[in-house]
Amino acid sequence: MSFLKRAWLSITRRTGKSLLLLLIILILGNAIAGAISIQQASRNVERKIKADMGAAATIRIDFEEYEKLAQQYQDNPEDMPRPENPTPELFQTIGSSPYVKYYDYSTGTSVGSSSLEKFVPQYIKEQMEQQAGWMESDWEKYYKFTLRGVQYYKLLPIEEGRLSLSGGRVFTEDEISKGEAVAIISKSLAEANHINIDDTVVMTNYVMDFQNVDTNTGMPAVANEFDYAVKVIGLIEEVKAPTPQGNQKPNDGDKWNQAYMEQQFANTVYVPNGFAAKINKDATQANMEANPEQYEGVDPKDINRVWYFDPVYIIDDPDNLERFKEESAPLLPDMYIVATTADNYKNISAPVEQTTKMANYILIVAVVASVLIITLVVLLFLRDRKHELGVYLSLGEKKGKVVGQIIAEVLIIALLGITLSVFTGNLVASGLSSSMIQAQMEKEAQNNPWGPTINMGSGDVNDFLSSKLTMQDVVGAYQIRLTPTYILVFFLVSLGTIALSTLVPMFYIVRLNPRKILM
Amino acid sequence: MPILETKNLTYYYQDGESRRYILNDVDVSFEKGKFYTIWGQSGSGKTTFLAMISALDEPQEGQILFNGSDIKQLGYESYRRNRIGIIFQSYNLIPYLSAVENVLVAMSITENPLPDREKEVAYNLLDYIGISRSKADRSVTKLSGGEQQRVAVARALSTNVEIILADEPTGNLDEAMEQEIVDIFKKLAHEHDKCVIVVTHSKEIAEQSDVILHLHKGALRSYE
Repeated sequence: MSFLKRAWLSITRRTGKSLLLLLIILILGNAIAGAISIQQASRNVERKIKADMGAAATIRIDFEEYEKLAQQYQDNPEDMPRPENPTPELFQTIGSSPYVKYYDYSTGTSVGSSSLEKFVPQYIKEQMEQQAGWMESDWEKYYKFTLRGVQYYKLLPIEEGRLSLSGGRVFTEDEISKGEAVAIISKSLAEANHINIDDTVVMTNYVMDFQNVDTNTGMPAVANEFDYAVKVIGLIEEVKAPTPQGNQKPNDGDKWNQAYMEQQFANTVYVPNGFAAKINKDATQANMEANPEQYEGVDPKDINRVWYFDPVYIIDDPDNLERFKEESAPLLPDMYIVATTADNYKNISAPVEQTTKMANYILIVAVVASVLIITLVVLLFLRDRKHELGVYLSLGEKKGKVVGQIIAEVLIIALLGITLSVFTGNLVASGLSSSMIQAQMEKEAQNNPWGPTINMGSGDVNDFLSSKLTMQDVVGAYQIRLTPTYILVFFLVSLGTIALSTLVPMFYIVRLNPRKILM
Repeated sequence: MPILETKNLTYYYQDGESRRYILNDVDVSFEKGKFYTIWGQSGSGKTTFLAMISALDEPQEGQILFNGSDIKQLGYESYRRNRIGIIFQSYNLIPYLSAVENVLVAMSITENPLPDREKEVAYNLLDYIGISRSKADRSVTKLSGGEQQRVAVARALSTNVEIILADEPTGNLDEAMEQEIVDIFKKLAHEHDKCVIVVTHSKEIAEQSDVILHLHKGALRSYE
């Protein structure tokens, strides 16, 4: 009769004690399984939401630090040290990171055009007609279009599937490096103005004379204007994300927002950074002549410098965001930080994060309690069986096999208890976490009734780093499920706990003296 | 040649600077086919002596030789597993096993060659000792004291050893049962050529043995 058979007979014939141990393991197993379920679910939700958010990063001023600095110098703001702006060279150095798929940074301006009409969505037109007397502001005429400079010739939004090329082509590397006067415009703008690929349009940059303001309209006079002939080489349109099939109809606010966004996109003209920089330089020179008082005391180097901003780095994998952040942070000037899409997750994941934190505590307490309780219970059972163990030793049984018998008994019962806990613990976690998340949601709603603000910047930065996902999306994605990873992790943690629990009983057996027990 | 012998066997308790000797330089030898009793008053060191020769305890000085080899060299565990069978006063059976399973446990532990169909051998052995097959399948907790001690004897014999050691084996039994157990020991020694060594404080049992070893003040004196 091998020690394993003895173990089996001991379990099946000492049913009361076996059931008691099973019950204890089942209760503790449920606590461990529940905690691991919650951990796994929140890891899955984090992975899913982060994947939905994409993996992008930017460099921006640390607003919190800047605010603190501004407060320090509120009495003498002129003495406040100005953060040094990052240069294109720095953007490029950071862009050479192995984690970066591709990147872009931009300079830009707003321009008008005598040959092009601004695209206005149907909804806005209808609203304007309904509200008689609503006139477009005079400013609109001079700044109809947003010129967005591009350094990445294939265009990030096209590469990332947010925009599609519906005609023509993207830039060439040569056009980007030479800053040629070529543009990619929206299909809707092209259609509204009957523009075809290879047509040339004229963009006008207006320089205003702020010394000479019309007292009736409040508009400054135009001091100078520069026309730029730009060849249209490509047409783009937005790739619409499928809208959720819900019963809720969009309200007026939603319609306005949608129409406004549509208008913004349609009137954005993508041009090489070099071309946008040239327009800016021309404008600065003309503006200096028209409004010299604005440049008094300004370093001429700064006047002629072209400012590049909105760097966007598309990272190869959401898991590499942190590594990219760590690698890039030391290269940045003071007061600048790397912001990533993962930062958005922190803003909307509070209820799940809190629940996970609780689950972590529960897991630690459950494991420690399990080790202590199971150790004590097994020790108590062994004290009862001291004579039996003494008999094995007096018969010359190897201590290893006596230990093996006891470990086998505990493991067989534990395996049964753990297997049952896999399912029951999952149910416990489901009930527990939904009430915990609900409580956290209510708490968050009280603390922050407007919800988290997730606007990361302008242009591509806004497109790639801001998120429309909400706390509800995170909570909606949170699902307690029986996954292979959960089962594997739970079995590893539980069996590890059981193994720890048998350490002290093992020493107890090794130290047994059969003479003292039996004679 | 003796199967078991002790040479200068000494066991004492250290009490500060002084030593209290339980066994002092004991030389004794045991042969197969004889029934020995170690007899003495309570506290005389009988059980300590038995613990030494059953390798459940270690002497401070001296040697115990099995067929001329020091049992320390043989390995205490191995010696208990393959050379001796031990019977205790309080039977010490495994309570959740049946009589035959208790015997089978010992048979599975020894490395001595045993006949095939171990369970059948165990039943036969129990039957020989006076435990019927129907009782052999019962849990040992449902057997009487005498029956339990018979199971313990069968267990000690089952490993095919040459030496049977017993510590007050009839201490918990009535007189009739005591005599039956003693008769089994005599039979084992005389008919099966075993060396049976029984520790007892009972003069009646001692008088039935082939050799009485009287333990007094740490010394053994032999009476045949």
